[in-house]
Amino acid sequence: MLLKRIMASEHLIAIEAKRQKTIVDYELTSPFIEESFYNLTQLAASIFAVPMALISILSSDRQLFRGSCGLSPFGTDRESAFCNHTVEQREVMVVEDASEDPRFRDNRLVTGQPFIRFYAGAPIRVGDDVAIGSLCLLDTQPQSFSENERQLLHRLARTVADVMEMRVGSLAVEKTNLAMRRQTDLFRATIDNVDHGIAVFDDELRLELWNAAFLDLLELDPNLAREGTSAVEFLAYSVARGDFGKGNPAELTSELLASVRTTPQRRLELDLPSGRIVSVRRAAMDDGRSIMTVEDVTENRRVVRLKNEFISTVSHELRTPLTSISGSLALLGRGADRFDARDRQMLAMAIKNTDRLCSLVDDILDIEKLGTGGFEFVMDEIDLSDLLDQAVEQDRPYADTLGVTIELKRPDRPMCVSGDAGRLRQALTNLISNAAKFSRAGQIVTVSAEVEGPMAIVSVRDRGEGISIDFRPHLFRRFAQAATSQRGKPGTGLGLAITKAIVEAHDGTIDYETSINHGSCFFFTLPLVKESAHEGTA
Amino acid sequence: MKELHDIVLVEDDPDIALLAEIALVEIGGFHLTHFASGPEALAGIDRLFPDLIILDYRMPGMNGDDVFRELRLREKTADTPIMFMTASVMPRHVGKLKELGAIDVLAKPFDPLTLSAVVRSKWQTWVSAQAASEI
Repeated sequence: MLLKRIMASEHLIAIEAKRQKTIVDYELTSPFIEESFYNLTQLAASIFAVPMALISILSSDRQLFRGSCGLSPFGTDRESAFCNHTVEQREVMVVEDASEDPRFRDNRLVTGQPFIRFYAGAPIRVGDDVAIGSLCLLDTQPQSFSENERQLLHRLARTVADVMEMRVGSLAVEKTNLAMRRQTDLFRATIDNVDHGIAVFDDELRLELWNAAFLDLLELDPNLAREGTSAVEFLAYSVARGDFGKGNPAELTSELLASVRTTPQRRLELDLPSGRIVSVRRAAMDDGRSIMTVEDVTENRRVVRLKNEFISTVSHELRTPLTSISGSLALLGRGADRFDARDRQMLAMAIKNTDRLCSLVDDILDIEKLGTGGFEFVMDEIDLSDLLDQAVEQDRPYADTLGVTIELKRPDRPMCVSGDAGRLRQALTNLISNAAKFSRAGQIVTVSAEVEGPMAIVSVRDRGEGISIDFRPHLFRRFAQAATSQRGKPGTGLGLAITKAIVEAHDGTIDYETSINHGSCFFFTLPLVKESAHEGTA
Repeated sequence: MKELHDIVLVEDDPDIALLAEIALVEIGGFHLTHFASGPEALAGIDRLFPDLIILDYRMPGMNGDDVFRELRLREKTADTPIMFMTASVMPRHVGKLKELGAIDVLAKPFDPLTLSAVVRSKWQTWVSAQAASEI
């Protein structure tokens, strides 16, 4: 018995929890009368000829009147609510005379205002058949209620439930709309507050959305900024102004338009009449629209130009005193036999370090050319054997100072490549001196060349400590050495970047293999001149 | 065959001028007249009959190319071979100087031990080319 009661009360608790959740989900928790519900209570009161009708919702501690006719709109405490009984049944609950009913005769709504005698209530069930309240009729006089009337009230309560279902649906739509409006507002605020120009064109290249910066940065006529303006008009305007260089405007415009239609994304830089330089990026979106972003890069370009000018000037200013120093040292060296051993050592040191300074300045100038595309090559047909010989000879004195031996494995037949001898020698000496630098005294650096198909492969192998994993991604970057002190060897960190650029300019590739404690092998390929690729030249 | 003998050097840096002098006079055996600026050279060159003029490119006041143009305007030096000497070895820049009409461009730093040989060889190449074009 006790167990049954406990189970029954647990069941009631679960139902009540579900009711409260549904009331929240249906947004019925506000204590205010709502017009549509008020109208329905008026209708009910007049159909059933009673002075009072209510749409009552049972919140956890009160019964809320969402619609009320003939009664104060403020609801009551939950305890006094007749509806507590109504929601427990499926049918309409009728109390013909509350003063005679033991359940209600002591209810304060019966003994006091509004002195209820008659009550008829139909549960309002929404969602997952959850009774959340009732539609009820009240009178201060006892009344009888026919079966027909019961059915009519039941149907009216279902209508109220239908209104609640529709209402929650439209509330959801309203919420979605609000969220979308907020999204749009946020997007608008974002594009209006960035420095970049932004414009979106639809799938037929008509302007759909833009910000002020788009017009400002591209220095476009503000009159063009209408929704639906064709991209053709913008292009024609820019072309006529000369943004895309000289040429027949109609042809230029149609060329540009064709490129817009055929390439999904593109980036270009424009020099505008005002002197402003803008970078324009266009990308196609999945739905066929395209987005254009415009960035003012005038300042960036100016800084790059200043930097390059600075490097050029500094290098020049360094070269002038270096000319005097290296020249005087060379002249002194001519009579070095007059000096004692210690003086000769000092002189050799001065010459060696001046050479280092000279190559540093050369490297910096080279890297500037790399950055500005100013690297130029004088191409000749070169025998790789000669190149290897020269490079090894050039690096041998340096390797000697480190106690490192350079071993040269000459190719067994002539291998001709087309290239700039000076630059290729520079590339190779960079690799050899690096290999020597990262070897220990007594170790051997091997330089070799071989043929593989139409390519020559030149390799430089050392037996040093190998390249750490952390450093590998930076290897071919400029100033790589300077950026990572872990290798702890002197150098500008420019050598490999220059070497890579030289090799690539000769249609070759450069790569390396490395193993910790076993050393590294750098190798680059160069296309062979035809004859040597097959049988070798005489 | 004509020999290179008289050289005029226009160079503002006294140290480099001294090095060039040792290289060209002591080692090369040429006769050298040095001017420390463009205007000085333009004022003094009319008295001379150089086989070759070497112009430093970057000089305060009047740059090497300004001096070059002025020399070309004068009857006496209109056809005198001229070499530039410059620390700026950007190929674009070297190309520009050659386009201007210089017979070659000497890079700084130069090796004083080989400078005279380099200058003589470049000069002779030019003379031969001139002779060939006159035939």
